[in-house]
Amino acid sequence: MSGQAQIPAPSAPCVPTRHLVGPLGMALADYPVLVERALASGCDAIHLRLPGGAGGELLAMARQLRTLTTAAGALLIVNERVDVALCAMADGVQLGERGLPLAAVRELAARAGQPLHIGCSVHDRAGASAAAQAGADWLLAGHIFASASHPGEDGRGLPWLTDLCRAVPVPVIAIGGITAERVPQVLAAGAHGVAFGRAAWAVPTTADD
Amino acid sequence: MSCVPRTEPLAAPLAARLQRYLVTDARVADVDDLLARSEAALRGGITVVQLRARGWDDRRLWQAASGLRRISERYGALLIINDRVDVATASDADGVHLGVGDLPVAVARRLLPPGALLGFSPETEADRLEAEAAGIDYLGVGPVYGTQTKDDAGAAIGLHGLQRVVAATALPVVGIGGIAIDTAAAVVATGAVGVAVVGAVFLAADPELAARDLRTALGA
Repeated sequence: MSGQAQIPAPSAPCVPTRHLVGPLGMALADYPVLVERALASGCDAIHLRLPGGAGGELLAMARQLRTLTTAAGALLIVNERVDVALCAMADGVQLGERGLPLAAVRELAARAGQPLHIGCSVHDRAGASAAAQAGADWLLAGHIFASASHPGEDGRGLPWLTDLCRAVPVPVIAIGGITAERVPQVLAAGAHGVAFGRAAWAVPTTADD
Repeated sequence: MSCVPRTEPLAAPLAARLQRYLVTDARVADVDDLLARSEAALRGGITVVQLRARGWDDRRLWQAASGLRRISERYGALLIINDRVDVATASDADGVHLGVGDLPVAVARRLLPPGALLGFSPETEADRLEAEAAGIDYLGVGPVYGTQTKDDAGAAIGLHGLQRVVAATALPVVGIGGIAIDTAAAVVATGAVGVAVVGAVFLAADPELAARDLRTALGA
């Protein structure tokens, strides 16, 4: 630390900048292969998102991903299911706008004696402000560009992202149609990081999107 | 472990508290409707409410669980949450009910506060033995009759199937699956400590009246 030029600390050093969100559109069993590919290309957070998935299969997959992410030094984030996140020793949870209240999740983590990072998914300024005020560690904001997960819908666009990043004091992770080529412009808009789906690795659909 | 004498009556044994077991269903208008039906059923003498609302988002589940916690306490009834250990813990419910494919019993037990109730619905004898070894408090067994309210329930096991499980286990058994007011007594006659009802009470035109009729049918 001595004799070196002072480098300004990143605004949120603990918040990962390259997120993979899945299995979205793939069979659950195929997800670890994509996760390994994503970790090898520098992803530092892996999300397990399977709406309506059974607790047993979610926990089994979360444990498998825990091994992979620990080996790679990446975070494991479980979508919505705080019980699965705690059982699998995940690093955090991602809450939807219709998810459990953030304060209740913090309380659950405290009771379990396991600190959890909490990300919130947002789709507008009001949602972003509310999540920031509730104490979210990051916001997953989108979708920025048109993507296969939202067929027939335009993305909210870069100016929208710029506004959002200015409006909230919490790191914003941009999601929706993000490809490697688009990362620089997304970061230039003020995003702390980006979230990719399987499409970023050109993985074909093997299940319903 | 204090020696101060209790002024309130001791809670009835678990078996008695499981006698009239209401299970909710997602096919209602909204959270308020779910709470209103549950409260009406509690007025009619329901002793335990299980929150089950497949397909509801977590926020609605949480709102329903929090509302049911307040209401069930007022009637001295137990509150059990289907499947979700996190929702149960966050809402201070009395316990969780798990099925095959849900979080493993041992895992749920570790996550739940001490003293929480754990119910389990086995599909096979092997499921039941494994869950009992992992530490459960009661069994939900069925479907006793055909059911219209749970599309993934297996073939009906009948009163004989229920009786076989009751005879084989030391745990309290609640019969479930297509049980109507006029079949409830036959279900309890197998040695089951209670009956779980969805269609017959929760979805009834008048849940309070249906719950009263159930109570009468069981001679309670």
